[in-house]
Amino acid sequence: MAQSDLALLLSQIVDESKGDFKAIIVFDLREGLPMFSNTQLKSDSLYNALFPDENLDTDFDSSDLDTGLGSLSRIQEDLNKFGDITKFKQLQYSIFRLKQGTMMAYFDELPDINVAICFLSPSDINLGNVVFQSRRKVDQIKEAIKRF
Amino acid sequence: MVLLVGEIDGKSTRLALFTHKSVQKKDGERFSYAVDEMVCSCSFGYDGYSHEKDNGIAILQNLLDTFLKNHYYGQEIEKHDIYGACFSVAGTVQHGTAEVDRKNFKAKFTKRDIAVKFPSKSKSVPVSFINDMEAIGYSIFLGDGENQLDDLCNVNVSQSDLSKERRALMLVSEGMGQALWYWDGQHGKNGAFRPIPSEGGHGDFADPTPDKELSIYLEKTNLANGDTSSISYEQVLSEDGLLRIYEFLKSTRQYPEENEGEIQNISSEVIIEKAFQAKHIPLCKASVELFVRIWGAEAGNLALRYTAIGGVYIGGNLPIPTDKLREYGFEKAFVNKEKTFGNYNSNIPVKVFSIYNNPDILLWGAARYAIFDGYVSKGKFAIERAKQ
Repeated sequence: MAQSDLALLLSQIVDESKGDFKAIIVFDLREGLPMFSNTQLKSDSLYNALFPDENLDTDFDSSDLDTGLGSLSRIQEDLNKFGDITKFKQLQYSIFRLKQGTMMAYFDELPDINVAICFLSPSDINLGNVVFQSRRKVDQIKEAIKRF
Repeated sequence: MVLLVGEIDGKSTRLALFTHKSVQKKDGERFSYAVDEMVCSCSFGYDGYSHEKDNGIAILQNLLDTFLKNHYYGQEIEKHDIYGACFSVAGTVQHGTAEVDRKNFKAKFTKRDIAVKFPSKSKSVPVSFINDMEAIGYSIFLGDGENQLDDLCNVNVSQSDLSKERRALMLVSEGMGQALWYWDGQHGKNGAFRPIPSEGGHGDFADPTPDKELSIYLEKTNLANGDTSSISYEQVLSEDGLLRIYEFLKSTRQYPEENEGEIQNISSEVIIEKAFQAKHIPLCKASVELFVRIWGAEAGNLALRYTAIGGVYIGGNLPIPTDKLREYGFEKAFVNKEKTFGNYNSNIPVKVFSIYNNPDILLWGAARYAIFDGYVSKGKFAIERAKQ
């Protein structure tokens, strides 16, 4: 089966980042459930953690998975409200520094759900470079999702 | 892309395929998705299965196989991937597991039991089960379902003023269900009504007959069968409930005996038919009248219990037309409440849905729920993951 433009694009962005991006994952913002990732991630243990029900031999139901990212929806709403009041306008992206890595989250609205496009990077990256690269690529990803 | 939708109950399982469409929003730029049409459907009985030997999951999987083989594989529609599935279940749904426990069909099944039968590309698409009461509610409260209902009690309040007010739903069919529907601004992208189910149908029955003769009759009948529990609303307001009311009124000998052969194979439908025909049978008419009065009173109780000023939505699979509900005193019983509460209820709209006249209502409700819950996008991503 041919991969979609989105799958090819995400794989290409990760390849070209030369290690700055470990993964790009699209989350359903309301439920915090992962929906899509770059293809390289399929051979990583992270994929099994995020998509545990892909294997029909297991009894796991993906709706039991709680990534904790459901709360991003609230952060987006609250910061948009803050942006409206202060005239700083809408939230564009969020950066989360974890002990072993960094996640940058961008937000997008599809006709039926809101999504977060998350760039995951290892801990030893240059943050400025990662921000620059993700901002350069995120519009292409949004376009590919729209064409989906 | 197509959506697989089902209706699983104790008598049969019905499966269908639906399409969706894009709908422009009022702001002119954004659009959302809505259910378009039912492409095909098929109903399966459980005849031929032995419930001692066959387990319920195997029966359901067998029906799914048959449906997909006859209506999907090798058909024009197969070029459209199945991107999700939602099933209305006449039973309990908890933590992704559904259970039907009826005389002719018993099954406890998970999403995985169903998805395993999907085409390989669709094995990870979203699947959900919703209770049949929920399916009716979603059919009414999502999309334009509300506009298709009959008004039983007209009130002097603009419907747009009530657009986010609480609603109560009351289903009278094999059993009796009651649920509160409240507006949840966080549900979906723009908010929607959500249900809070109840077991109100099993609450104690308040008998409107002068000396509580109906309750006494039912208690005696139950006691004869060793049942000492109290009389519930469901024992009166249901298909079997109408039969019990008929038997009770017959036992009073206040109505003329039926002529030989006038009623054969008595059932709730036969009682209703004989009550409404031009040369009606007085016992049948009296049975339906008492049934409608009890229904109106309990619907009024529901309005008060839930402060459901957005409306009380009643219906089921009994073929009682709206004008007959009106004629037989539903509204009078609905507003017959103490102090100022009759007036309170008179400002609450009552709307009627009918499974009898709209047998697809459960399928449409399940389809609307799935589209509302983002199955189009979620399903697309799941199918693309399978291609990676």
